This record gives sequence, C-alpha cells and structure tokens, in this order.
Amino acid sequence: MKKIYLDHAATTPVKESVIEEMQPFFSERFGNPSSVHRFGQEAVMAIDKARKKVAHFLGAKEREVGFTSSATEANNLSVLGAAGGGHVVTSSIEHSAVLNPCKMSSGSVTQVPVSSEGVLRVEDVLKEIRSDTTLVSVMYVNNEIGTVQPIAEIGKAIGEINKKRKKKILFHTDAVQAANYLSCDVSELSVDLLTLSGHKIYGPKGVGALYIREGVTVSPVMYGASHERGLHPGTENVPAIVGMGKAVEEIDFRKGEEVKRLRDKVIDEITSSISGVTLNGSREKRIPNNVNLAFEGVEGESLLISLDSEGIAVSTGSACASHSLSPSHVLLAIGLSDRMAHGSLRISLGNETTEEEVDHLISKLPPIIKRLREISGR
Amino acid sequence: MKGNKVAVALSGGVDSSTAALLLLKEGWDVSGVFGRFVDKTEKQEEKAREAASAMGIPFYVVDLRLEFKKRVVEHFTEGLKKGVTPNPCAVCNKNIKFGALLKELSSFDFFATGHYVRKKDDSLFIAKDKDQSYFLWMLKKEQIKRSLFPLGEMCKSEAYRVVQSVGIEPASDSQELCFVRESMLQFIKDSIGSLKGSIKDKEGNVLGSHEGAFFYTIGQRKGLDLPGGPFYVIKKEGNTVVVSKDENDLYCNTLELESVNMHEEVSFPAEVGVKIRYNAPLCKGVLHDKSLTFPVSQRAVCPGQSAVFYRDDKLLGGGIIK
Repeated sequence: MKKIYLDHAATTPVKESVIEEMQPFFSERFGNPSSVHRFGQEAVMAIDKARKKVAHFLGAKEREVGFTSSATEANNLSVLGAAGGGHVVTSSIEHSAVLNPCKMSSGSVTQVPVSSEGVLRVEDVLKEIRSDTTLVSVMYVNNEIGTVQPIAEIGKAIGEINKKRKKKILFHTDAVQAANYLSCDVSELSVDLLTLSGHKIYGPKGVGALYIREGVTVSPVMYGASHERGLHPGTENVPAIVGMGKAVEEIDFRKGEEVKRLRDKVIDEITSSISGVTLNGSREKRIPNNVNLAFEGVEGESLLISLDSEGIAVSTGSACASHSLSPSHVLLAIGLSDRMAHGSLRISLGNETTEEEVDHLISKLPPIIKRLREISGR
Repeated sequence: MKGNKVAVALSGGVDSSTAALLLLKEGWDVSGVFGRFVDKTEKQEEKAREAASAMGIPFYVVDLRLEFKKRVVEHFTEGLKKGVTPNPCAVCNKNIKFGALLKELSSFDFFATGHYVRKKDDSLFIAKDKDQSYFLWMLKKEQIKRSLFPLGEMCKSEAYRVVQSVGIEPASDSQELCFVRESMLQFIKDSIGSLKGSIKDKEGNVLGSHEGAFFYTIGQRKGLDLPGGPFYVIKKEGNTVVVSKDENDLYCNTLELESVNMHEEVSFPAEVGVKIRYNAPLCKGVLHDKSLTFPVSQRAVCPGQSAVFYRDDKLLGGGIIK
C-alpha cells in the first residue's frame, strides 16, 4: 500500500541535505562546544555557523539568536522569562506551548477572541493592553486551521504604544508554522521575541530557536551552566543545531506557490464532491499548506482511522491535542459546535507533496465519508 | 479472509495479544486498537502499545470515556440504587466494545476480541476453556457478524505460550470490573453514598438497620450483624433488606425475565441449559416467553443479573432477571 503523508503541520521529514550536514557531528566531530581544545572549537564553530544562518533568515544579529531544545522551551522562556510576572495578552487560539506557560505565570492573562474566520483583529488586541501589561504573545500562523495573524500590524501598534510608556511591552510571536512560507524578518514584524522549531521546517526534532531583540532581558526557566547565555543550560545538541541551521538556510518561500495550488485543489474538490463540508478558518489569510475541514455527521477519529488504513496520514486538530476528549479549543474559538469540532480534519501538505497524492486523497475521501455517515445514521 | 482488514481490541493482557497473534498467523491484515474506557489506564495502554509494536502492527487509541461513563457506569449505579445487581460487562459489550468502538472501526472488515467464545455461522458457542459467552448474550446478530473470536478453541495456558513465544510480556488480565478502582464497597460509597434503611424478616418485623440495600447481595450471610443469626439475605424490597434464617428461602424454581434478546429462534416452551451467574454451572430450565422455570430449584437468584440460555453448547440468548 502506498503511504501518503499529509500531516506536515505535525512534523516534517528531515531533508537529505540536512541529514548530510548533521552526520559528521554525531561521532566524527563530536566535541563539546564548551571544551577549549580543537574538538570543542569545531563544535562551537558549527553552532555559530548555524546561528548565523538563523539570524540571516530573521534579519537579526547573531547574538540575538539562541538555540533551545524545542519551540515549547522557547515559548516558555518568552512567557515565563520575559513577562516578568506582568499581565500577558495572548489569543484564544494559541498553542498549549504558550497557553500552559501563561497559566503558570504569576501575572494575569487575557485571551483575546478571534473572528469566526480564525483571525485576530488588531484593535481587539490593543484594547486589552493595560498599564501593567508586559507581554503580548500571538502566534504567527495557527497550527490547526493555518490562519495567518496580523503580526506586523500588531507589532507596529505596540511600537506606537511603547513610545508613550516607560515600561515597554514586549511582543512575542510563535512562528513555527509560518517559517516555511512567510517572511520572519523581525524588523518587518516588529517583534521582540520569535520562536522557531527545527522539525516543522524539514529539520530534526529536539531543537528550536528563540530570537531575543537586543536589550530585552529574559530570565532563565532552567538553571545550570551558561550555555546559550544561560537561557538553555545543558550541553548543546550540536547535530540538531547544525541541522536546524541547514534547514533554515534551505527555506524557499517560492515552494509555497505549488503547495498553495494543490491546497486549493483539495479544498475545491472536496467541498464540491462532498456535501455538508465547511472550511474551518479564513481561506485568504491562510498558510499555503493547511486545509481544515468540518464534516457534518462524521466522527473525526473514525475518519482518521479509515484514512490511515488506506495509507493516508492526516490528523484531527493538532497532534499534540490528540487523545484528548475535549474538542479543539481552536475550533470552539471560531464558533464551531462540539459536534462539528469533533468532525474536523486537518490536512497539511508538504513541499514534496505531489498532485498524484492529492488526487488519491480526493478520490478516497468521498466513499469513506458516505460510509461513516450511513453508520452514524445521518 | 486472508488479507482482510481486522481490528483487534488490545487490552495489554494475554488474551487479546494472543487473539491478534493468531489472526496475524492466519494471514489477516491486523491492526490493534485500545479502547480508553476509564481514567488512569496509561499502564494498560502502554502494554497494549508494546504488544502491537512487538507484532509490528498499527495501533490506535479510541477514547470512549464519556460513552462508557454514561452507558455503563451510570447504568450500573442506577441499577444498584433500584436494588438490583446489574451486569455491567454484558452492557459494555453491547454498547461500548461491540457498540461505540465497533462503530469507530467501520473501515475494518472485522473486529476481534480476546473473549473465550467460539463463533460458527454467526452463532456463538461455549469455548473450550474459560468460557465467556455469558457476557455476550446482549449482542445483536449484526454485531456478531462483524466479530471474530480467535480464542474459542484455546486453553488459557496455550495462550500464555503463544504470546511468550514472540517475546510479549503481557499484563495480567483484569478480574474485577474495570471501573472499580479499589473495592466494590468503596466504589458504592463514593458513587452512591449511603441510604439508611431497615432489615426485616419475612413477616415484616424490623430486626435492624443498614446504610443502603445496595451494599447487600442475595445469599449473603456474613456481615449482617444481627443477633440470633445466622441470617441470609433473601431479597431486597426497595431499600429494605429481607433476611431469613432458613436457607431454603433462598431457593426458587421460577423467575421472570425482561429485555430478552434471542440469538437463535426457539419455540416456547423450550428446554434449555441456563446460567444465572457467570460462575454458576449450567442447569436445566424451561424457557417461556418472559420467564424461566427450573425442575430443580436454584439458589440465590439475583434480580438484575443475566440469565443466559444454551442448547448444548450453542448460545441461544438471554434476559435480565426481574
């Protein structure tokens, strides 16, 4: 059976060129970057090279980029380490890697609702800002419905507010789902903190990066030696960092055009061949590789298992939230009923996704939906 | 058959792992599925995943905690409150395992479990060892049609050997009700609480008091704490526990049935083999439309429990004792 992977928002395969770049750093050039000798020097230079690539991608200075063990860690640093216990403004569709650190923060948190299109309105964010607000954290692209948030506009507006404030508000964005297709230039976006992940961009798992604007103070959330300016204590994961650098270097926004064409084909064909289907989230303000559809009268879990037994890998909601009984907070936030949220499917395409694979999905889905609807008696 | 897709309900125990292995050996396209019915099943889930991984088969988890709570646990506690002793396993098989779970697995041609029961021509038969057909009487024909029971011809000891031969270290199979964490007593205290009532004799004389009739079972002798005993619990009337010193009062030779479900067509009255409890031996009975009579009277018949009918080793159906 042919295996078709359409779950790139969960994770992406590591590119050959990335594996090649990482390979020497497992056993041949295995040194500890903190060591004085040449083994150590080799490793530290490799990390610096990777840092340079990430900094270049972000339009940032090298010293503004730190590596972490995951995007979750970078988000924890942003919320717990940068907010300083002040009031945090975030969105109602944020990933749990931001929402849960917010819950652990000593300050109060406001979650700004989104429109039924799954997009934040800048003015809604601004009106929640208080005198004790220290951080605004808004994801660049939602991981479930792929909607693109107005980061640059929010960043600019916060900049204006900051001009009149002594204690500046910091602006953080979790850009893990955006980096493949959208500019993450920190000046364009006017962000102070930005999170990236290795494994969402055809790099390895177990590595993330955090951009911290020069002059911004972030306190550690873990304590140890002074690796990555003390923000990520623990010996650097050199092969993964090297891989992340290479993966970032190879990001090519032009790939988004073909992915978007295939995405639109999936949306158009499925919504026309199957009745009772709606696209969750805005179609216009959407990342090129995300499709999220709600099927009336279908249980998402059975649909997932049915497709998997046909060799097609997709997901309901986010991979991190699967096995949870409560429906997706993102889908509820855009106004779906519990039932429709349970009947939703996320199809996320990749740069290597072919037309043939997409056609296979388009032809397999209608009979499965028909069967599941017959069973549920609707 | 060969190459057909089958989902096996894996619990992490010996039986379900063996069932999956037997099907694999027969050439089926096997997937494992773990039904999450109650909280805190991480250990079992891990064992089931390990078994699937050792067999190299896909593994899915289906979360049915809400359905299970509503349709099994609450049904059970409601029954206890009404003074009957329900059979939650039979209800779970009908509504959850072969109900909601089977429905989730509609992309598979068949659904298999580690129940010890034989299936032939869409009828169920008593297994060679450890028979569990008693718990399957509530199933409908279409549920049986889609099911496979690879263990019907196996002994438990053989099952152990089969799984150990491929290096699976199974968890011990569940004995108690899966949703009862500590003791049944504690479960009832936590989920129902207490309800004061009296203990009377057959003539209606009050002999003592109790904290809830649901704490008592028919036939119970110990723990009554009444002077001048021993007494037996012979029946429950609402929240009143009726006791007697005469053990003969525990025996009856006729019982009323409700919710009868027949797998096979029979014409009444029919001479059948009957089980009135899982562990009870098969006894002779005559089945009428909505009642059973026994040539030899039976001890401690509990309302709410299942009476299951057989002809030779064929499962005919069952009903709930009124």
